[in-house]
Formats: sequence, structure tokens, C-alpha cells
Amino acid sequence: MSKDVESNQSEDRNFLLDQESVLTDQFSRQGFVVHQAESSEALDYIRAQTAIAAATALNMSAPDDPGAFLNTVDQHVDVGGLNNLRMSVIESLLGLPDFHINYFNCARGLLESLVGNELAMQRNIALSVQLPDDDGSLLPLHSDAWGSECSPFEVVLWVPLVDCYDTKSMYLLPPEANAKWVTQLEDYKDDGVEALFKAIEPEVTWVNIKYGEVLAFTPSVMHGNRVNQTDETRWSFNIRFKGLFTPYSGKRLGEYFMPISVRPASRVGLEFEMPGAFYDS
Amino acid sequence: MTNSQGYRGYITSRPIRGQETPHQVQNMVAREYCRRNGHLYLLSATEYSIPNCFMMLAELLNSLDECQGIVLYSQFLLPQKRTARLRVYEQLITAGAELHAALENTAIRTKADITAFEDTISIVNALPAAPMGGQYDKTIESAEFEAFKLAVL
Repeated sequence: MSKDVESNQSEDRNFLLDQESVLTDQFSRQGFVVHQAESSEALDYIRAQTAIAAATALNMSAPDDPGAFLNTVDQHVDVGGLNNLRMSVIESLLGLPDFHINYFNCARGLLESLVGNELAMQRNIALSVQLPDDDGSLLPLHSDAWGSECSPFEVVLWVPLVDCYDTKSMYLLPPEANAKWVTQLEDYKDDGVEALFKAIEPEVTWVNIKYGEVLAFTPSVMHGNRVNQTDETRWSFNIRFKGLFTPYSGKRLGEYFMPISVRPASRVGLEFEMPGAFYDS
Repeated sequence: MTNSQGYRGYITSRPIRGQETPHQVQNMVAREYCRRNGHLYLLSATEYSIPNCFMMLAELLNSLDECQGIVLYSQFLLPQKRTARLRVYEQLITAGAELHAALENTAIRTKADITAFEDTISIVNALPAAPMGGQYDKTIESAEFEAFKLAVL
């Protein structure tokens, strides 16, 4: 081996695969990655179960075309009934023993590349249903790490059940712009969040994503959604993942996160006990 | 196998993971867990506040023939030492009883459930040795900035 090669190796200690380096670069630059779902079977299962749960809650029979049904569910429910529908669907899905593993399987490799191969996953299911022109289901501009018990070590896996685009989707501020605007937050202390959004709006990225794709993003950058001005309903899940041994905030391992991949070497370490009791005689 | 119906609650008078939780809140969480899972909730036993004392838990374990199992407010009410916890699981399984943790929405029904249940506890116990002590501290210096964040969020 030549001296040059040895030298290069000693300088690059991030031994990522080429594909991982591409994802890392995208994630670092954009704050998110859109990726093809790694298991279409898992994704189709989740969408089908969601559609069945929604239809059941609406006293309807299971739809033949789950995607079309969800996309047009505004024909069957109004804003007043939306939260009951959402909660009913969540409760049904939480009753499925295989929901979480199917969700994870939609992006297992992506999450392991971006986060790590020992992971904690959010126990509860966060589901967003945004009817056209509904201003009651909005998430104003925010960074999760600012005030919602979240650790900045978390990544959100956002999975749409319908095609999401423009205001039917979500926006986020890329990390470089986020770093710039964070230093100016105080300028908006009297004007509030909407004024801040108007200021950053030219620099936000709206995520256009189709059913069949998944979105992984860092919720530590500013993000949110607006009134859905399309004539279709958005359905998307957002569930958090983080490295099992990375710092937690108010969302703790236990009631909020659960371990989903513990490697054997870690288990050996966790169970290790020093032998015997030696006493200074 | 136990013959009696219902699950005995178990709450504590000591801080749990560094936080005090009122008995009323612990009971509400355990009761709601039982409701969601279709379990009959029996009056809870309250552990003494004496550090490292598990006399009340021992009493429940000695009376497993009177119920179907125990519903802990949290799995972190169990003894800190892994070997002591394993003895608890063994005693429950031998009696054909179940151990539920309401806050974490998890349970041991058979031996196969122990690993997943135990993983959470052992990892949390190991976190102080992880980077940043396993805890992200959001404390920042500017009180004004903090007030702003509270106002806008």
C-alpha cells in the first residue's frame, strides 16, 4: 500500500458506504431525504389498514381503492368530525401488533444510514389528516427541539398515504438558512410566528412526495404546514426515531420511545457485572 | 395458574426516574391502561417511601393467587438491580400471572416477553454513561430568548 493511500485512510474516519455518503450529504444540506419506500408490501399494508379503520369509523364498508378513498375522505367527514375520525384510526392502528415493524420496514435501511443501527422508535402513532381549506389542523412554524420535549438527535419518518404536494404537504427550512434565521428569532418576539414565517417563506422548501415514497427529516430545523389549498385530503404519519444511546429530552425512553434494535454486543455490555466481591483485607 | 379475576395496581411514594408523581396520577394511568386493555383494575398497593424498600411488592408477589397479575404504574418501579428484577419476573411467571407497566404500555405475559421489557430498563439505567449523560439539556442562557420561545410556541 502506498504512503498516499495510507495517509488518505488515516484522514477519513467516516467509513460510510457510497450510498450512505449520498444520503448523508442530502440530509445535511436539505435537512431531509425523500426516498423510495423499501417495502411496498409494508406500505400498502399500512395504507390498507388505515383506510379500513377510517371507513369503519365512518360507518362505511372497506374501500376497494384505499388511496382514492383517503384522498377524498373530505366527501365523508367535515372539520367537526375530523378529530374523532383521526383518534379512532390511531386507536385501531395501535391495536395492530405489526404496525410498528411495518412502518419501520418502509425505511429500515434509510434510517440505519441516517440515524444508526441501534434505534429507538416512538410508541404512539402521530397521524395528520388535513382536509382542504381546514385551518384547524395546522402546525405553525416551529422547531421540535425548541419546546416540544424533543431531543435534536431525533429524526422524523414522515410517510404519506396519498400524493402530497404544495400546501397539501409540509415545508421546512434547510439547515444553512435555519442557522441564519435562528440568530434573528429575537427580532420577531413582538410580531410572532406568522411574521417569522412570512420572513423565511422565500427560503423554505416544500416537500413534494408521492405515495410510495418516504421522507426522513430533522425536526430540529424550522418546519410546519399551511392551510391545505388543494382539493384533496392529506394523510401522513410522522413517527420519530433516534439512536438508542443518544441523548433524550422530555420524550424519554420508556413511555415515549421503545428500543427496536438492540445489538448483541450492547446486550452483553448491559448485562455485564463485575465478578465477585474483593475486599481490602 | 391464578383463579381470581383482576389486576392489582402497584404505585410508589418515591421519585420515579428523578420525578415525583402524585399517587392520584399514578392510579389514573394504571386505571386507564386497564380500561383500554379490558382488565379489571383492583385497588393499588402503594410502596413505602423508604429508599430501596420493596416490601409492598413482595406482599403482592406472595399473593398472586388472588389476582391475574400486577399493573405497575411504570416499569421503573421495579428494583434497580437486574437480578432482583429477574426474580420478580420468575415469581410471576411461575404463578401464571402477568406483569404490566401502564405508563410504558408494555407487559410480560410469558418468558419470551422478558427481553423486550428488560431492554428498556437496562438501557435507561445505562444512559448516564452515554454521551451527554444520555440527556439533552435545553437550558440556555438568555431568559429573554427563553420567554420568546415560550410565547411563540
